[in-house]
Amino acid sequence: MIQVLKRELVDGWRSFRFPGLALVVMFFALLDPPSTKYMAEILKMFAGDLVIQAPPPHPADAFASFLGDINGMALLVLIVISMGLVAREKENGVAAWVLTRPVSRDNYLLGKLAASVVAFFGAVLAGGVLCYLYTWSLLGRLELIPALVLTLGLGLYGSVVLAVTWSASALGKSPLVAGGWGLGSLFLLWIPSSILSLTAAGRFLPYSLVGQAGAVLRGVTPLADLIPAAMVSLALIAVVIVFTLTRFRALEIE
Amino acid sequence: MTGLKHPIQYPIEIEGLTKKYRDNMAVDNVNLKVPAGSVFGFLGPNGAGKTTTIKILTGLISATSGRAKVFEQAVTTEISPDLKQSIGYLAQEPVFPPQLTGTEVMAMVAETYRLQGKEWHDRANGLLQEFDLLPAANRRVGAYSRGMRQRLGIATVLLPAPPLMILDEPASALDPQGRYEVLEMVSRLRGEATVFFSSHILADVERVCDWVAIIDRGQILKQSRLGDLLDEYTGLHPGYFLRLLDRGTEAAQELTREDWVMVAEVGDDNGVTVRTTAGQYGLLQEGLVAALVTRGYTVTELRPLKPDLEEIFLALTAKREGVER
Repeated sequence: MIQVLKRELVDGWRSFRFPGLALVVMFFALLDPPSTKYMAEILKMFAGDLVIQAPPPHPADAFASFLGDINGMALLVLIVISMGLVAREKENGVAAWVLTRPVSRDNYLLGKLAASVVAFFGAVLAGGVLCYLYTWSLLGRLELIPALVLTLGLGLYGSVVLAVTWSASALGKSPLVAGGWGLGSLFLLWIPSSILSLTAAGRFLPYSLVGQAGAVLRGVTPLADLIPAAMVSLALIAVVIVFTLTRFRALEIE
Repeated sequence: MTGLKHPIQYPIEIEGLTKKYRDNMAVDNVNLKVPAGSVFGFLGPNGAGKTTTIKILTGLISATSGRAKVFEQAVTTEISPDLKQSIGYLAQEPVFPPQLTGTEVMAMVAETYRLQGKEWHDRANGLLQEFDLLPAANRRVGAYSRGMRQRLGIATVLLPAPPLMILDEPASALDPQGRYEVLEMVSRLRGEATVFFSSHILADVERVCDWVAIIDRGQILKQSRLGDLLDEYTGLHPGYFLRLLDRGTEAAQELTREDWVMVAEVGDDNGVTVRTTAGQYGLLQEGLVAALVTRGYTVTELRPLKPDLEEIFLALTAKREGVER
């Protein structure tokens, strides 16, 4: 698996997939703290004679805004860059080349998934650190542990989407089909959460990892409330991995 | 070269192998045994089922029925990495991770085949040099031409020196010089490794292979030692080539008058080619030398005319079409 992982990291870097993802994350890490701080002033510029009364900006708002943007835009970028992970290599013959070397099918798939997870976590953590420090410098200090846990939670939530996209890329016939499954998973993770968010069941849905960011950062919701969603997310990832590996072992690579 | 590490008589054994795609029977009840240490030519026109058979052998696709064994282990899509250590495979259109350089591709091969130490590095450089890829070794393979990819593919197969090499049309994208070098390289592997070599170019197979199987429309038409096959089909063009000490033209004229000679002619090299019909070949065999000696000619060379592989292939496919009609 290590050879595939290394090769995938090199490939992702040189093809600009991973730097592109990192740039999107960094963009929001640099955009959200100042836009949160100066939002009232920005609105006043466009308000004309209207009087706008906004609460003073809180560091939690800037960081929650960052996590929200990553949940939206960066996950879309993640789907786009990972939908061809395996499907494209099945099309262009690289998968056949790798799989006729002494590499097992499981290791081939796991290496590719692991590289994308590493790249995504790396980008999100780097962006999180940057956003945290920038927020601190502009708006004041934010509790480190909740910010870190929420950043990791976002990484885990994104990994669910990534795993579904990877699975569809491995088992489907084209990158577009995989992209469709990735987008579908985003909606499937979000829709039940929007309906069940106020019920006890909502705590178990993966979307809780990102949906409660503001409340957790302000200390309204305890960190422990994220555990059920994290466990369900890990279980979902495990199920997707086992299902994909099992099906891929018998798949014909033309 | 590591030589033949596996003391197995037939590194490849295929029994009743069939692969069906909807209505298309790509491989139809194929039986093959590839002897250890041989250069085995797998010959057939495009679309005959060669690549499909090879894809089953390498675990890329599964058979509809029958079985394929490599080093006595059944091959499936879950072929183990340990078994793959013994196999080097070159695809018809070699493709590599496009973002890697030639050197990195070789390094990845060395890692996956668990080549130890740094010797592989020198060996990789030697192979890149041998295949004229050293100047492009640090360029990404995505920018390589088809011929360069094919040469790199051969280098990647040779690097770990596996005991079994499966080469699917290894010279198809090469210029005449590259083709010559690759065929020479394949020829040198005889006895060192088992080479399963598919091609639709009959001259290539005839040049380097010692065993041959002919496949057409998914079915094996013939499997044999190349020499035996050529002998078997001697009657395809019944006749002899001979050389005389002198008076070749005169001898040809005299032989033409015999009932059992269809034609006797003198070639540019002063050799005499004597042809007859299939029905009279026995008479020619019995009477030729006697006819010449009694007339006072001295025979310095005599050998039966043998068809080339192309003629045998055409005869086999024509026979099959005749049977089908």
